[in-house]
Amino acid sequence: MNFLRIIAFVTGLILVLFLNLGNLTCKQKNEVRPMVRVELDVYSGQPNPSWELAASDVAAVASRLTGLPRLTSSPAEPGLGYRGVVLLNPQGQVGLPLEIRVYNGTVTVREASGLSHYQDTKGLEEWLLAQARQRGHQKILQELGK
Amino acid sequence: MIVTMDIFSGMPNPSWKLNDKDARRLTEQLAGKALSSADATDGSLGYRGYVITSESDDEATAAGLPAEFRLGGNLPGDLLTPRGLALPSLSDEASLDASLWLLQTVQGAADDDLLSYVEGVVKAQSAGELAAPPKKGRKVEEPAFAAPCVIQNTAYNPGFWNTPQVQPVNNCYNYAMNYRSDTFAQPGRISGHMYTALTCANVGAAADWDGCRSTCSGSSKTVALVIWPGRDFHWYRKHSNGFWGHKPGSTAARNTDNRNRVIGGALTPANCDRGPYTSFCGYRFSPVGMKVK
Repeated sequence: MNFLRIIAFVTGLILVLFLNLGNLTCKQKNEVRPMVRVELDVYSGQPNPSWELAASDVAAVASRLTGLPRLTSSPAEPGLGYRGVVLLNPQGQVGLPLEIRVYNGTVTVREASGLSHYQDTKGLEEWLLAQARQRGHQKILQELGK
Repeated sequence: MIVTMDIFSGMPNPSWKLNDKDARRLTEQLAGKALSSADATDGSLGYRGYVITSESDDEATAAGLPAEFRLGGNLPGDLLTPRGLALPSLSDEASLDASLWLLQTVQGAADDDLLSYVEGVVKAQSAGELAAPPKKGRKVEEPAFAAPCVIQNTAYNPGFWNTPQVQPVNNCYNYAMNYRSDTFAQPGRISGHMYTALTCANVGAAADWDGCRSTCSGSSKTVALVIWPGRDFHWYRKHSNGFWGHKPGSTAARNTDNRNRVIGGALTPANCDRGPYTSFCGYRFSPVGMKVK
């Protein structure tokens, strides 16, 4: 009897470990692909140039959003041409807001509760523009004076 | 309507204005017919027909006629026909009847000898004594007309476009054509002739295929196309409020330019601040109810 109980215990332990391992694998997959899209908002007719935010960059974005001075007024709406860089996170993943637009030194964050505006004191816009240049969008940025 | 008898080579041609009653009669005779363009002439000496010219920008359209056309004379057969539509051409008999009737409306613009001469020529043509050259039936693309142009610009309504459900997925083309497709519409996509280059001619041609044309026919709204050369296109739409609206990409619809000035009055899509969209391609007409994709 004791031998049977031991077998049952070990079998159950193995099953529990196996299931948890599967969960860990899924979690790791989610961490690898955050599905946050970055758009260089420049076009009116055609779709904007865009790329996926790398998982390794999520923390960098989050750190550049932390502790920003809040602005009390809304920024002026940009027109045709350069309108900043937008991070789109419609599923609300990886702890980032639903949408982040950074333009002309202002970070506008959209969450379920509404819009908030902050001063870009940690260089989020420049950091994202550097990413855009690395991804082959340097020429268009030069045309727009960026 | 101004009637000009095309007859002289050196001296100015006789010209007179039809009174309202005569203008209406002529319109009724000619409405719905393919007419000859004003420059359709063989250039022969003597009577070469009449050139009929509307006096105001809405007179011709209200009458459903071209702004200028030729009637009578020994015509080489160029016809003004609407793009994509076939109208019956004005018969020789109807043309000659109208030509004779117009002699009665001259009101002193030409002397009796001249009128007798023209009457003789027209009657000779009617009797087949002066054979007109065969009509070639070559269609002239411009000016195109079909149904009378009726501009129906609607009131500015940004609230329709600037909602979370609509704004991100409808662009400048959706806005200008006033059709929410939720596809970030592209010129030429719905008609299977999408643009292949970012130039005025190429994007304009694609829009043509969709139904947005450079000439007005039927109930239409006024739009304007501009290009960021080699990069992108943008559209504006005229509103009944007297100004222009537009929607830059997935951002909010607005009626102001890049300097935050309302695009109205002297400020138009042609001269407002358009940022990098430096090429102004001109105005076009989008039929009411036109769809895009």
